[in-house]
Amino acid sequence: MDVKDLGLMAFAEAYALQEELVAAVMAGTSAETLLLLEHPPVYTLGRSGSLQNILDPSIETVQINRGGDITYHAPGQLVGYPIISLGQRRRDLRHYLRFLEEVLIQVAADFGVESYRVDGETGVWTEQGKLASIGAGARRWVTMHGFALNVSLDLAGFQRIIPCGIVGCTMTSLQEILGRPVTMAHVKESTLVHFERLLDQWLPVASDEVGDI
Amino acid sequence: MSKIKIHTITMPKWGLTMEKGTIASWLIEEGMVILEVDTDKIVQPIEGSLSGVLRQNIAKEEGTRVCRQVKALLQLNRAF
Repeated sequence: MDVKDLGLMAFAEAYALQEELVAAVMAGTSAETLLLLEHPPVYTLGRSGSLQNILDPSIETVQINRGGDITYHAPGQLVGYPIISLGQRRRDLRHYLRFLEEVLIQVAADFGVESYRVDGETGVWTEQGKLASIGAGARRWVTMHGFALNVSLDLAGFQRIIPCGIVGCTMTSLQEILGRPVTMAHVKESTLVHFERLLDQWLPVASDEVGDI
Repeated sequence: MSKIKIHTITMPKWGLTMEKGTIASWLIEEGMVILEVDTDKIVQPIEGSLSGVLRQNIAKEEGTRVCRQVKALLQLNRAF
């Protein structure tokens, strides 16, 4: 698996790069790749998104081909876009979501933060609120989009929307929970370690395939 | 005489724990890509391996369907 640390990259540019990589992984001309980056402030709306969840009508959103509702990205949030070939691993979309949650739960644990899944609500949660959002897409079992882990971003950006379409959903960050600065470099390093380790545990290559094409 | 072959499109079962999926959008105009299915928080399109026309869309409304439920009948172009 390749890893690309893209630093700060505009949403449209990262989207184009994902499309290129999905096509290349599908064609077998590129290795699976984990993109790690931060976005300048942007609101994105997934396939099940509702414009009613935008509280401030001046907000412009990008509508994209991932699952889920509206969310917010900004510097201080670690965005991960894994371009993974589930066709060669395990053809199970929801298992893939549970894998992404596991990676982020382990990352939070590295920083001494206890987090967990909530049944029926994809994402990673803590007593203080939602720590990470997940929304993915796949084409011919090659994944795109992925996760957004709140590290140190200004959470005010979430107050102009109903995050994930869940009323009363409080968003939190590692920095807010810990009450001390958390550096993006450390979070990236931890994410990479757990992602690589858990990928082959949760989604081993050439396991029995289940599910439809 | 033309031989008409009808192919059904059903809600796929993408993994052991998937019980239902939501038709996120119909993409029949796109040709090979027929529609997108949303399960939980992950979306994947269904691509046609056969070209054809949409004969009868049983599930016209976008919405949630249980896996394996028939959504549409596709009439193959090749049959003409």
